[in-house]
Amino acid sequence: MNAHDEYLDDLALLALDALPAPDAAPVLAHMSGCEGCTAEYRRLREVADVLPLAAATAQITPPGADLKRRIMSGVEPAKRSFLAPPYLLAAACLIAAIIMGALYAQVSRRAADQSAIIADTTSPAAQHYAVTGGQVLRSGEHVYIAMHDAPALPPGKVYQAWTLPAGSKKMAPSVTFTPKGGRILLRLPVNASRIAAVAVSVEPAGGSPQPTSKPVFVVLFPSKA
Amino acid sequence: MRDARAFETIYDRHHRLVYGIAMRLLGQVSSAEDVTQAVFMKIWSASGAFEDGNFAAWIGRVTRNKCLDVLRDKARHPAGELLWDVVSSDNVDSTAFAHLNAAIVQSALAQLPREQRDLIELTYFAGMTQQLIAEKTGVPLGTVKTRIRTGLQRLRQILDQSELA
Repeated sequence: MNAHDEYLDDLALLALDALPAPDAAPVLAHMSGCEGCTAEYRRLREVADVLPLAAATAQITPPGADLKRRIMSGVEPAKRSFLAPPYLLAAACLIAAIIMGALYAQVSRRAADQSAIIADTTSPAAQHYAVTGGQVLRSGEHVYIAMHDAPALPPGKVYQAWTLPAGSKKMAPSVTFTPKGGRILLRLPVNASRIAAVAVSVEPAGGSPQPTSKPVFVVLFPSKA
Repeated sequence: MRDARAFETIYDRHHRLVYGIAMRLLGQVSSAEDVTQAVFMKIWSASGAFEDGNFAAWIGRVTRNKCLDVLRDKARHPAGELLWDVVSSDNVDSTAFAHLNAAIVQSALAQLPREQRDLIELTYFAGMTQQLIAEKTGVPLGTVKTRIRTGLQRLRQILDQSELA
């Protein structure tokens, strides 16, 4: 059994969008340095891409005209039975736009984020830093913490990430997290180009404004010449 | 996609596919109609969501992901049965099978050995975890995963031949 074998089955699950995120972390980390597995993932993903076509069968009675009317009423201008004052229409449009925008942003953000994660973590340009129980990835503007064997936390404790802003000497608190089964894939809410280091420490639940324990790891990013 | 007439054409061409997938995954007319409406509203409001490749496959993927969201929200299954927090995407990553249609994919899937086809369908269309599939079928977890992979690889070979035919 070579290094790839343990990931092969998970590549298929990843292609099917069926791999839980914690399990995906080590697979994505492996793929980022393995052309063979990346190519195999793409071949399987191309199959998964067309799989939805197999779901629709002729036995299912198609929807009636009511559904089409319902949908088209959402895209065509409504036939107005009265003329509302322009300021009322403008206000209604503004409110609707805000609500629809918020709803759409919520739905689309998840898919876009997850696509970006796959792109980032499998990018040949990603920089990898081995740390206790996993690795830190720096790819484009993003920094990821990918743990596949994080040490178990004491009761009431969480891991907390810290970032060192470029040019600063003081660590800034970032997110807290608790790996499931020692695994987690986490994208830090920070622009990679603006930080000089990342660290993780064990802190009380809820996090700390300043580190209260020795860091589990510290990664110093090389400064750009 | 801000042209109502073009949108209507897309609806006429693809609503059977979207609704069919939703019915297959959700099994309820009202839920399937809601998902169909949500999918087409996404097409209307997100003009740049589809970039390239097989549009039917893309819209099918969007529908499948939307259905899994509905199943999760309804908590129709006990916690842990459905895929939580999976790495998923609506994107279609390539144009490799840009011209395949539903009949070809259905035929290809039908050519798989039953034990591979069933596991792929339970995973992809029912959103079941491998652990649950192993429990329900009595097949060891490792075997479940390997059969899914070999099934997907075999499906690739069959579809490659379909493209060449």
